[in-house]
Amino acid sequence: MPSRAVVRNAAFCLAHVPDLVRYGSKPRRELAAHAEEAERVSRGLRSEAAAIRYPPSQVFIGNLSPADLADLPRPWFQGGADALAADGNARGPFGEIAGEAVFYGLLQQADSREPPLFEVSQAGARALREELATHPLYGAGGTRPLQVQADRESAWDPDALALRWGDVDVGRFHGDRSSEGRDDPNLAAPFLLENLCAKASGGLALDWLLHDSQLEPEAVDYVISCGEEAVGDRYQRGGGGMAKAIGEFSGCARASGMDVKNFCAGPASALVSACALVQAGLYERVVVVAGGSVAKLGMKFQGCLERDMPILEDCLASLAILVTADDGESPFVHLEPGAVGSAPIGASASDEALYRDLLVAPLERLGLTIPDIDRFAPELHNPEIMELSGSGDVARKNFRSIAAMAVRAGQIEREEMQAFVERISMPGFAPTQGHVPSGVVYLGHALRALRAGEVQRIMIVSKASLFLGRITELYDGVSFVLEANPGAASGSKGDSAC
Amino acid sequence: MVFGINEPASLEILASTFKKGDPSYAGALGGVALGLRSYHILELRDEIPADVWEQQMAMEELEIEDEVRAQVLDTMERVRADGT
Amino acid sequence: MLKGMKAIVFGERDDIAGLAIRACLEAAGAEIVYETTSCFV
Repeated sequence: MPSRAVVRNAAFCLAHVPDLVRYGSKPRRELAAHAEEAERVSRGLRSEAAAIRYPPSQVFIGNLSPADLADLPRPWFQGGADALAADGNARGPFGEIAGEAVFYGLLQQADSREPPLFEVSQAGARALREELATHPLYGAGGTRPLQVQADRESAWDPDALALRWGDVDVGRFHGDRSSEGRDDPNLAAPFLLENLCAKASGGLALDWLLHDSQLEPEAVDYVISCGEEAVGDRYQRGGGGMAKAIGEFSGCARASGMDVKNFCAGPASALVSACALVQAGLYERVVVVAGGSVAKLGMKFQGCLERDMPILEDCLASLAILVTADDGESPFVHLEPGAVGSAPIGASASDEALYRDLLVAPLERLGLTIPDIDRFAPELHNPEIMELSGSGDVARKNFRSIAAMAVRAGQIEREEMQAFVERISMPGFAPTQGHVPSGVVYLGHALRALRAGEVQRIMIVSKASLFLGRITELYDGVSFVLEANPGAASGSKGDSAC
Repeated sequence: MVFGINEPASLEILASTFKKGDPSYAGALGGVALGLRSYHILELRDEIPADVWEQQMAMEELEIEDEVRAQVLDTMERVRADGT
Repeated sequence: MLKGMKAIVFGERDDIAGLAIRACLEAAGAEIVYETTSCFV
C-alpha cells in the first residue's frame, strides 16, 4: 500500500503594488486611449496601510477567518480599520502582505538577465535597501538577506516602463534588448514584466512556505507552477519554465519542475498532480506554486472610480503549497479511482451536468453525499470587487449551486435548500487574480480547521473558462476532498476558520 | 436577444442598448436603434421542450434567488414595454 | 413562438452558460446566429 499524500502546509501572500496598476491590461489600454485618466487613477490608489488593514487581505493571510469577515459590515474598504481596532498586521500565519518596495527588491532578485530587464536607479536602490533592512526574511537579520544593487543607467529607451514607488523613481523595466528579441512582441516590456512579477511573487510565497514549514529549500524534490502567465518567445509562447524559475529563486537546487496550465482550475489540477506523484512514490516532497497576475491589476478600476471607491485590485496574490508523504498528522487528499471530480469533454454544458461530475459522482465513489461534506471551497472571489463588473457575488452563487445540486440529487429536500446554503456559505475574500480565488485559496483555513479537529472533510471545487482561449467552447472543473488525517489525535485547539 | 445573465442592472443596459442604442454613446451602437426584443432564458420555459428544459435549466431555476428572479423578469418586461 | 426565429445568445459563466441556452433554443426550433458566454473573473 503506497503512502498517502498529505497537504502539510500552505502559504498565501499579497504584494501591494499600486504603481503597477497602470500596467494591468485594462488600465494600460484605457490610459493609452485617454491619457487624461492617469490623474484619476493615481488619486484612486490605496496606501499600503489601507491595503494591509483591508479585512479580505487579513483573511487571505490568515489573521482573520472567513467567519470574522462575514460579521464585518460592508463596505469593507471603509470599515476595515475600525472593525479590526488596529491597523492590521502585514504578517499572518499563512504569509505576508509585502509592500511595493520589498516587492521591487524581489523583482530585482528574480531578474537573471544581463543587462538587466529591471534597471534600478541610484535613488531607487537606496529606498529599496532601507525598506528591506527590517524585513523578517530578506533583511539583514533574516534567513535570506537580499542585496539591492543600483544599475548603470543605459540610454533612454522609449519602450521601457517606468517603475515608481510613490514619489520615488525606482527604475525602468525593459523588454528584451537583444537583436533577436527586439521585434518580438512576446518579449516586450509589458509581457516580461508580467512574467517576472509572477516569478517574484511566487518566490515570495515559496520562501514563506519553506520558512514556516522549517524546510530547507534543498529538501524540495519537485515544483509545479500553475499560474496564468504565458512565458516564451515567438516560437514557444506559453512554453512554461515558471516552476523551475521560482524554485531557482527560492534556492530549491535539488528540485526539478514543470508548469501545469488549466486557467482558474490550474492550482487544483496541480495539487491533484502533486499528490499523485507523492502517493505513487516518485517524489517525497512536492511544492505547488503560483505567482500573481499583473494583467488583472485594476481590471475593474473604472467601476471603482465611478463609485468613489479606492482601486481594490492593486495586489499581486501568490500561493505555495507543500505536499508530502504521510506524516501521520496532516490532512490527506482522496485519490481513490473516481474520487477526483472532473468535467468530461463530452459532458453537457448545463450547470447540472457540471455539478454532477464535480460533486455527486466523486462523492458517490467515496460512499458520501453532499451533506456529508463539512465545508465547501468553491471560487471565493471578493464580492466587493465582483459586484463592480456586474457579475454579482460569485462566491454566493457558487454556494447556491452546490445546494441546488444537493436538491436535484435528492440528497436534501427543496425546503431545506436555504438553510443548507446558509450552513455552507462563507464570504469571498480572494482578490480577482484568476487562478488564486479558485477554491485552493481556502487551503490555509482548511488545514487549520482539519488539524484542529473542527471538521472532518472539506471539498475544494474549481471551475475554468477554457473557452476564453478561443480554441474550444469547453469549460473545465476539478474537485477533490481533503480529509483529516486518521493518525492525528483530534484536538480542540485552534481558531474557528469559518 | 436571449440572456443568461442574472444581474438586473447589467440586463437593463444590454437590453436597452439592443433596442434603442447605446445610452452612453461609448460603443458601436451609440445612436443605432436595432429594435431587437430581449428575453431572459427563464422567461421562455413554456417555449422549450420539457425534457430539454429539465436537463438544461431545472437546476438554474433552483440556483437563482427568488428576489433576483423577480427583478430580472420585471427588468425584461419593462425594457420591452418602454417606447418602441 | 421560437420556431424559425433567429436569436443572439449572451450567457454568463457564473449564471447561465451560453451553450445551455443554445441547447434550449435549438430544441425549440430557433436558429442561433451568435452565442457567447462572458467571464468576469
